[in-house]
Amino acid sequence: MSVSAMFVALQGVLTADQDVREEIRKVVQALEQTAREILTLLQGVHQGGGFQHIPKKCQKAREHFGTVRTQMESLKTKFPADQYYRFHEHWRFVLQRLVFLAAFVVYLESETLVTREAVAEILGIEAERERGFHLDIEDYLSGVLTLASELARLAVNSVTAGDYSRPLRISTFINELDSGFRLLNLKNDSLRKRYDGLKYDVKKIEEVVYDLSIRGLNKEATGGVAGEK
Amino acid sequence: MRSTATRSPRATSQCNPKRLGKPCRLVPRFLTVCLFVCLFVYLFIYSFFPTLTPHTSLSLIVYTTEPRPAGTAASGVSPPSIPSPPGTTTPIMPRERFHQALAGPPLRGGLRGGAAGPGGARMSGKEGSGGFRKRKHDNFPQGQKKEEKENVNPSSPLMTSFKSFQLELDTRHDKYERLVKLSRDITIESKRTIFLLHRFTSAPNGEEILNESEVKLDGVRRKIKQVAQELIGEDMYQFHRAISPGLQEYVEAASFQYFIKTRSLISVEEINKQLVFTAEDREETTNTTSSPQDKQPHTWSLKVTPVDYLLGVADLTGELMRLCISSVGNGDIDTPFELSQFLRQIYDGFTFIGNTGPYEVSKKLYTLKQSLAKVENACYTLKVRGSEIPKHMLADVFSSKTELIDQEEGLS
Repeated sequence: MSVSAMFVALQGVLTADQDVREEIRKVVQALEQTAREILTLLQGVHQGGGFQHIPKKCQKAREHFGTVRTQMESLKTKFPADQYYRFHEHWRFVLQRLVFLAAFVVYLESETLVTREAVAEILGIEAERERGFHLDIEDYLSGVLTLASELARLAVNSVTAGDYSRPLRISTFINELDSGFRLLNLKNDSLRKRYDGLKYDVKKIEEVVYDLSIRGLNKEATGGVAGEK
Repeated sequence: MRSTATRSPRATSQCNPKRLGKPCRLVPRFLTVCLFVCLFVYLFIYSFFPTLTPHTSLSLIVYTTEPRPAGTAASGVSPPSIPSPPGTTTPIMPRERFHQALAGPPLRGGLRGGAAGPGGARMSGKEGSGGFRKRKHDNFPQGQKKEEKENVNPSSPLMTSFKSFQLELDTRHDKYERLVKLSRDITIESKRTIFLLHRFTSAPNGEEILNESEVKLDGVRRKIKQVAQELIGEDMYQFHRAISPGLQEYVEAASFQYFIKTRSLISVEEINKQLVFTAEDREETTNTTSSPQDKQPHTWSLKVTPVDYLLGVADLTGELMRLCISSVGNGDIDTPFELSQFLRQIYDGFTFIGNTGPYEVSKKLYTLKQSLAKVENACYTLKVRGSEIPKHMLADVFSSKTELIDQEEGLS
């Protein structure tokens, strides 16, 4: 085999690789668009009147996740199933964003942390590597960390909107999340950097809770909730 | 935090009066006043803030660092007249503060525990009668804090799932580290093989060196086999970054040996063929049978990706350049021309690929160009002056010539 023939063959491989990447990029762009739509929709909960419409907004977001699922299906067909990590970088970011959105929806609905399996199901992918296009654990955790900073914001805004009990619940949730993350031995990578930001979210929420407590507003809130009940 | 509060006064009170003695009597007095002020400030803060801390454990970091500069400043007034205390007291503060600033995950956990535990206990024990404090305590029910603690109990679904994440991440990181280590071993061994092969041109016993290099490469392949075993049932690309440098170095060594033997370029297929391993002992056989992906239970292989191969070949050209120069030094006139021919072919191949490949390929293309220029210059010199200079003097001419080229490169 001559040298030039070898290089022609290699070039063929590289071109094919680039074509695959191009295809993936197209689908990922569509996914990003959908993710932005969901995000815009969910941002409505931060607005003053948004708190009453949470169930409706979640309903709508759930519909959008249907689109995500079909797009994921088409993404799966773009590359050989056993080369997930070869192209991982392409969808990594959007996948983290989608995990966050799914986790946010689930939190708004039930105030619990979404499990990895549940996210995978919402996004129409697998939770385990062996079964095909899956959700990498680091992506899942990054998405959850984004949820934490969003909840810190939500705590502030819910106070503004006059809901004093929500920050307390968020505080409990975030504290649990924080102690969960503290179990992990993270390497000095991007996930570690994201995790280091978690303490600021915790701090923010604790400040909100402190402000409420020092003014006795949390009692009022629990009283109010009891009244509603 | 408490330890510094107690440590710093003790340190100063122990050493200051003794050391100062007679020279200046005002200073100890001033110091004691300072001490009282410090103590008061600390007591005030510690009696006041524990009431807030359970829910503002993080703002505690901010609050407690603030009085610190005041404390250091108060003791910092005296140091000019005292030689020893600055050495004993001041380093404690910055170090503590440094740790606090660093207060990463583990330390913060400790901080929080410390703030909620002893601070709270001290407060209720010492100054339980403080009216306004009591009121705040009511607003800030202990029960809530307890509730939080209970929520964080290790059996909650969230915690159990995080424990499984911990396990998963640890396994993954361990595997990655093992692969990095193997990759480094492969790199080292390959480099040694290459150095060995460079001796081939100068040594009279060529066969022997080739055999030795073969043995060395077999050693490298055994390492690669370990890599392949690590990757059974895994996605190779997940750990690609760990093993890629080693594989490139291996490609370089293997192709260099191949070139010396056959004067041609080894193909990817050839390299991958050498990386198909068969089980040698019992333990490995059990490993393979447990892996579901292998069709043949007794062999497993590692594929060098085209990109790794390309990068390895690009490195090979550097070795060939050195081979060319040293062969001239040995009075070998034919090899340089042969090599320049071969390098030109490779260069053509790389230009054909051009920018289609990843970034690293185009980067190495530049080095390749330089190597080629060196070889071509050497050939030029040989052609022009080779006939005039007696063979035994060629080496001298070339050593100066190559130095010249090196200098030019250093300038450009």
